[in-house]
Amino acid sequence: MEITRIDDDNGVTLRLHGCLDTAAAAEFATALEATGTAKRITLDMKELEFIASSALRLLVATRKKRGNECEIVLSGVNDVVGEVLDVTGLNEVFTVVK
Amino acid sequence: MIFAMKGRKSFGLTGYIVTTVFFFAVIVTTSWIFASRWAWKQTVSTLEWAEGNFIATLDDEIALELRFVAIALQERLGGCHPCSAQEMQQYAADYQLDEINIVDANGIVIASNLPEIIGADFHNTLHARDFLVLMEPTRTAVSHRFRISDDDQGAFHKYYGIHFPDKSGFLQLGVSYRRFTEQVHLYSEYEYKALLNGWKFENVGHYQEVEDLSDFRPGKIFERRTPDGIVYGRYFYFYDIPLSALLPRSRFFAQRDMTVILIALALGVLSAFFIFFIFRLERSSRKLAELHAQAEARNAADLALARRIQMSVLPRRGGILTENLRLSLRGEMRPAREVGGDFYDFFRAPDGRVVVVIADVAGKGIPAAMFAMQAIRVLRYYFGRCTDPAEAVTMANRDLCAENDAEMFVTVWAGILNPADGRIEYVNAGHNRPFIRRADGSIEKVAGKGGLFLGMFENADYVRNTAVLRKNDRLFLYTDGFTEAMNPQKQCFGEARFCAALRSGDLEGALKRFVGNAEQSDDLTSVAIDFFGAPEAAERTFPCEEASFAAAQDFLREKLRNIAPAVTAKILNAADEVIVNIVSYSGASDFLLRTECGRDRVKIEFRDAGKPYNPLKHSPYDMHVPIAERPVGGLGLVIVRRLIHWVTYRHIGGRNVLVMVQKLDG
Repeated sequence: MEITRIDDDNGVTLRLHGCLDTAAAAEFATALEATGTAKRITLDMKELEFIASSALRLLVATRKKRGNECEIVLSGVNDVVGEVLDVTGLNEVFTVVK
Repeated sequence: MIFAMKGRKSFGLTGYIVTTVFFFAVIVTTSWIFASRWAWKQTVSTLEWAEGNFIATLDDEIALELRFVAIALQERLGGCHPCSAQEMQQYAADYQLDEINIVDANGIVIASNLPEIIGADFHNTLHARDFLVLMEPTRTAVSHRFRISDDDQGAFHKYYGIHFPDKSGFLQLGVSYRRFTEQVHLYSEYEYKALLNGWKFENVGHYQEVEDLSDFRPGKIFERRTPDGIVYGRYFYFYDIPLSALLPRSRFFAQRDMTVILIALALGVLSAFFIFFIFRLERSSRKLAELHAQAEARNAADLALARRIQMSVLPRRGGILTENLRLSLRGEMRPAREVGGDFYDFFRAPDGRVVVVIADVAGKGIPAAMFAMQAIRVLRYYFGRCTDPAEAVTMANRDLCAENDAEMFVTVWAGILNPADGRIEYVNAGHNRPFIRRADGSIEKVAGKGGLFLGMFENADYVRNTAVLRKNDRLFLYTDGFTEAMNPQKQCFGEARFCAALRSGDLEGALKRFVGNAEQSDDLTSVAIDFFGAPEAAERTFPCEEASFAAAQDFLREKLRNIAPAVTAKILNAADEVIVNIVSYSGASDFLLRTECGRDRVKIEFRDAGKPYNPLKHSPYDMHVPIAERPVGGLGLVIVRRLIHWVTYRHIGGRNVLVMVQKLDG
């Protein structure tokens, strides 16, 4: 699992590479924490294989913590991740871009 | 009901009313026209007839008068004897006669007001000769129609003769046309109505002298309004007197009105009855159509439900057999109607072998479906208990015979397949012989000894046959709906085409192309059993610690290396969720991960000796709860269930066993 952080005017982009499984959750949590008060977090999932529920929980927790002050965008979502977001109803919570 | 035919526009009540009124109007108008023409013709011909009748009427009137005058004169004369001319002239003046002749029995004039006639012989004059008949005993009077006289050119004359009762001679009286015209004037002024007696009809009209000649033209028919109503008239001349014959319009037109009114009344009553009848019919047919539609809807709903019940009895997916990667079973049933008389079945026998059944009840629709339901239950029962298919079928037949008042029967092919070696022990009870498509593509008929169909002969014997499936062979069971499927030209699909389609692997497509748009006439049911042989299996035990997440994932990646990456991602994602559960909550010290890679699917098995826990029983993650209130847990199993085709949990030998099977083709 590799997470690359890119900062720009729109906020923080985290490029996720590999699989965001339970083992990688801790690393992902750190990266999310490090976004601080960014108004927008974009998760670039083009290179992501799948996302485990533990990582989704971190996303939900971040969403709960930041509330409406921070927009979380999931971009480049593949079929597997798309299905997972669909079945958990999280595609309505986050902004999902294919 | 013709008024409520499905798919046909009803003529409608309005249509019937409009048509009826239209026909009513047409018939009444037509009869009005014809009756009017009749009345007019009658009026005209009567008026024309009146002209001729006028003279005859007048003539008769004058003849009658002349008779009385003659009788009176005879009385004054006192008998047939000569009189002086003066005396005779006095008589003529008294009675306004133009001519008075006394003629003796020899026809010689012996007295006359016209002296020159005295001595004339009646035998010599053509017209006078007619009067000689008065000398015959039976004749008493002769009346000549008035006519143009022989001597006085253009003038009318009328003669009347009467005998003296002793036959000594006769008296002849003559009047000129002037007397007629006087009579006409007289009548038209005072007594014209008396002329009516001469008409053949009563109250039909009268003659009138015409005073205003500005419009007069002989033969002209005119209309006149009078206080008594409209009168039709016709002008004509009598000698030089302009006359009109008059006829009340009502004489014939009243008859016309009455006729038309009667026709209209009769027709109106009939039309009213007809419309009433149609109305009743329409209402009852609408009601009937409503009831029909209701019944239809109810039937359709019932049939749909019956279909669901029937379909739900069939093993739609592989079920527990999904976990056996040595086999793939796929059954399909397409009833010709909502419900069918075919069925198939497959399930795992207690000894681990697999029972496969296909059957075809004689007949179609509800009765066949009901018998099929019974048959499938009975077969399931005995195949669940017997290890020998012949025994199971024999018992099932006995049961079906005993409870078969409707005398239905069913053909059955039933086999028990051992997944370990591909051996099938089977019984064929009158069913189509199945085919095996060998791995090399050759087609082989499973032609073991058959037996009688089930349900009719209680003591029928069934023989057990054996066939062997080798790796990648396919056993294909089917019902005759396939081979007997017809195209629009009424040709059967037949066994040759069927085998060719089996070889090519695209049976459905071949059948569809052959049948075209012809209606499906019979149920189409099939079971395809692919025998793949032993799958590639591997297993490893991992300690329950965080490092195992990555290790297990690596193990899976290694074993699933030949699978499409998208499928692998789903499996890895699901496996991650399961392993987190085991490591975090089971309390076990280690878990076993086993993989099986089959031809068409992959099986992943997780075993741990932790506390018994069925994660699939966990309350499902509720997506309808707002995100802020959702529990953090439970998400993982929702994901597993979504991503994996078949997930099942068992607790065997003190171990939690979770099995996931993922299909490779999607």
